[in-house]
Amino acid sequence: MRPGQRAVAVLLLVLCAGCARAPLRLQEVAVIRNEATARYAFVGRPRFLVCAEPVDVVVLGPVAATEDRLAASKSRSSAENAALEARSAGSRVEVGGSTAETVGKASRAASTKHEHAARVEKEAADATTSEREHAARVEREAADARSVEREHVSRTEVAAADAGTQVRLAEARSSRTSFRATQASETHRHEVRSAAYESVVEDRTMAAGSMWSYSRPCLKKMAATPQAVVGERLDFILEFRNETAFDLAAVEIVDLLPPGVEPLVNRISLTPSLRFSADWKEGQLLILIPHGVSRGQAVRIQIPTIVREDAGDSTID
Amino acid sequence: MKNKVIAVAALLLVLVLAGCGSSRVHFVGPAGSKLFLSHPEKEYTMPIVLELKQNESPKKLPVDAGGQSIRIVLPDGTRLKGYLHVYSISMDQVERLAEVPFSLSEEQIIQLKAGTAVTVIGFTGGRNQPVYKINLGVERE
Repeated sequence: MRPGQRAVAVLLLVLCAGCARAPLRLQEVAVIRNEATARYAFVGRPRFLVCAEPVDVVVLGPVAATEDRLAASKSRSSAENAALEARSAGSRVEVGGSTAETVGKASRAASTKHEHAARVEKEAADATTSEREHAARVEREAADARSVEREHVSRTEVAAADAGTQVRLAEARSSRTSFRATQASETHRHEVRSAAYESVVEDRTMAAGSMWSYSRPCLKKMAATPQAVVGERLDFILEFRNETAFDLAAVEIVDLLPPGVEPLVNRISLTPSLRFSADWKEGQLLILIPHGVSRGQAVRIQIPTIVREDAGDSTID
Repeated sequence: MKNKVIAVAALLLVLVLAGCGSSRVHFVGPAGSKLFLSHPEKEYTMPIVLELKQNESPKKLPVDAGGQSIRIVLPDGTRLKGYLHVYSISMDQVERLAEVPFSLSEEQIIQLKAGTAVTVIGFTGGRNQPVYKINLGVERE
């Protein structure tokens, strides 16, 4: 190896040694919950509300930072902790720290319980709907059966009338009776057929009807990753979908970002590219789409944020 | 000569009728509601039976595009706006005689006032062909 090459190799080694870092040990610091709502209108100013399901993100921090937070949380008074626990059990944001684990668990348990209750409620609603559908189906089948029966009876009558006519015709032919008898039976058959036709008319007229359905815009909130590291970028994604048959005049979206999560307002982007304005004020990010959203259109809003160290240290009111 | 004239007249009649299919829709209620149609531009008061010109293929039933403008003002002053689609279907005698109903129930009105778009589809009896589709949304309460 030449001296020049050796020097380069040494320099490289030194550089690598300087760049190498001990692997960062991360620990769960907090769980932050993010909610969003949207307002829309078919005409005029947005006024109808639609809410997105909240999204939870686990905040990870270096172990040292976590220990600091543990010490800080230990110094809190017991009364404060109790109040915090009570708040986190029923509210939206969970707090990190020593009590964070218990509080986090409690809140997760509450959230699980809430989800379970919602699931049970949904199942009950589904069961009721299916029961109602079943009843409607049974009723429809019964109506169909009745109509078929009626038609069958009519057809039988016609057939009987036909048979009668044939017999009478045969009799008329054989006994050479007058023309009047044959004419009378023909008239009778015609009457029976009309009656059968009328019954069909009645059935079909009764069945003509209408059905209805409803639709409204929906808002979905997602986080790019389920976990975020303190100091790193975390992207939230909002998807607003206009599932109605109408163009919306204007749409206003309010994103309730948890404390310690700061949006990079200038980097917010919409897909497809629509004209919008974004305003960050008192923990609320307001996104206004002044020209609305067309029918059937979906708008994806990407909100880049930075997770600060104090993320999840207080609650959203 | 006479037969030729009759044949030409019959042909003309068939051609005229082929382009003028219509469906009878019975706008039942809420009774007293005002109904405004854009083609022809007229105002009606419910309940009323209207002969509506068929102008769309029933294949477009799932598509929410086009349609003629329709406005309904409910008795309480709530203004609804929407689109009316009348489908070109071949109806038998029975279906032609039947009036396909349209009415808004209390539940539908509540949904509309809450900002929901309501779609009502009218069907013929028997063969269940779509006669009309009306999409409605609240304009002003």
